[in-house]
Amino acid sequence: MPVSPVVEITFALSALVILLSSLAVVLVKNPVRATLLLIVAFIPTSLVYILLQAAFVGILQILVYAGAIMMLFTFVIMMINPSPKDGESPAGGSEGGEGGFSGMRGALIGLLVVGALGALLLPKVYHAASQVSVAPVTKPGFGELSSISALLFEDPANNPLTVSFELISFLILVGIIAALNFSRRKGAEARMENSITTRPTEALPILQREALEPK
Amino acid sequence: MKAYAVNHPIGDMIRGMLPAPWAAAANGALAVGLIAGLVTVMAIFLIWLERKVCAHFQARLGPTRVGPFGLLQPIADAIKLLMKENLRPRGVDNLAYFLAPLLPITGSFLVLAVMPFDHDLQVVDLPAGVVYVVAVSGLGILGILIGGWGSNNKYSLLGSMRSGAQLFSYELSLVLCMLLIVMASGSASLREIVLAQQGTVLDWWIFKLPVAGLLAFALFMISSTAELNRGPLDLSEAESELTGGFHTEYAGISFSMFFLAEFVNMFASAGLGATFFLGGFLAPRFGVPPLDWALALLPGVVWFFVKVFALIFLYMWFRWTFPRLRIDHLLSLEWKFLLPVSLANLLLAATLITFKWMLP
Repeated sequence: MPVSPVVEITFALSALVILLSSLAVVLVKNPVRATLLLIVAFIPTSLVYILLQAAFVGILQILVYAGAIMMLFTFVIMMINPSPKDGESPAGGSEGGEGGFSGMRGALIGLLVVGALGALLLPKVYHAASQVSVAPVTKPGFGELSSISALLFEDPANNPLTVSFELISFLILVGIIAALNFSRRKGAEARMENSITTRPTEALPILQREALEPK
Repeated sequence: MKAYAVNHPIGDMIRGMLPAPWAAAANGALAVGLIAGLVTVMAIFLIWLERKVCAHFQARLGPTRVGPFGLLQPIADAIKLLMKENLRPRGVDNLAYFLAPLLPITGSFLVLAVMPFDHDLQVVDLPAGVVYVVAVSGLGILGILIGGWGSNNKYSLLGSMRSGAQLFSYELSLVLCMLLIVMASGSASLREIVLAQQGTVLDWWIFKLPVAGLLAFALFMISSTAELNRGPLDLSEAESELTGGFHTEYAGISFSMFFLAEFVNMFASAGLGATFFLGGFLAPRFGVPPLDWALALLPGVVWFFVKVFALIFLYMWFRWTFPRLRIDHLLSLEWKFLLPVSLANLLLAATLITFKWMLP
């Protein structure tokens, strides 16, 4: 069954945008712009999901990646604002300098990685592409919220997906608690940093300590 | 899953005149055009309303000179804003600075696409409409963040950082309130959420779930006020501390885009509140036949707008009554109070729904 030209054109355009913006993410030097371009790359990705009749996954792609994860990335990157100085490559180290992956060496490593990944992935992709039929799924409600929730939670006693779904949510909870524990400063140190110091004599020890602390 | 037929007279006429793919395209274009027109007129009217409400709360008169009751004042303001130079301060990041004003308005515009204005008046009814609403409203946060960063100004950056922290936090309790309604209605489509509230006034979700509905409504109003960046929770602007926050450096049309987005967002958010809690486009029924018959004479779209404007008035009432919070108070209010309360409320609602302890 031939695919409608609207789908073909939409797919071609979104693929073009995904490729160009993903390339630009790597090539752009400014980290904030790179995150913005990554968000630009996520939006046509969700369009591709919608073309594959997985509208709910498409919406989730925007919600989770473009909406939540990338927003936090933007937030953190703006906070630390690591803008590259002139003549410095964003990968660390100056052009042609020691230590950084820049110039010819970086290009060589990049080519090696791309070549190895391509050699591993491309045969699989061609194999998969020859197997997939382009006939649209005619099952009503395919890829929608109700069918996904039915898949996850129907017959909870015998459904292996329910258990793994709940376990994953526990895993995320454990991650959050661990992050909270790591970011919490302990005891006297926290009290010292949280107290508002107005007199210079009180502020001095903190300043000195910051200067002495090895970076 | 129930399916409701959609047939609007204008849509049917276009479907009768044109072949199928063109009719769908024409209907879509018409709907988008209507929404665009609505957004513009609504924003202008809301600016007038805000000024009038604010003035009367402060025992003033508000705009009276331009047009009857000063109704044309916002149009004069809009022309003034459009005529101004679109400044580009030195050292701004061109891409971020000029992209940022477009994002919030795009987000609120996209939310209106799933808003059910009437039985058959909705651009598209997505089965996962609520998830979609949460997804696209994230664009507004992005606009504020990169606008503040791109302005290359410390006040702007501080404002957008605060705003980012505030919007991320309050989105949690807002989404939990929406989740409660999705649980109660058994559907995430906005149209079906409205149609699940058919019956008398007591079948609206605000009353139907005892205590939990009312509590969820209160939580929804507080968190959406924070999401809208409106006073008393407008910490991202905070004129008194930040000279305007993230839009300090904006002027002319770019500033008015942020401004427009704020009012369209308020409309969209009030529309969501009406849809979730107040029965959306359904006419109120009290179980008294003559009164119900009289109230049902008005079309659904009128009832939708009546409910929306009631909620908008509530937002304005908040803004001009309460003093602004401090940023740390604001964040502890969310994390230490609103979030636990909404989680507990969600549990309560789940219990009520499971045991069918609802109003008849």
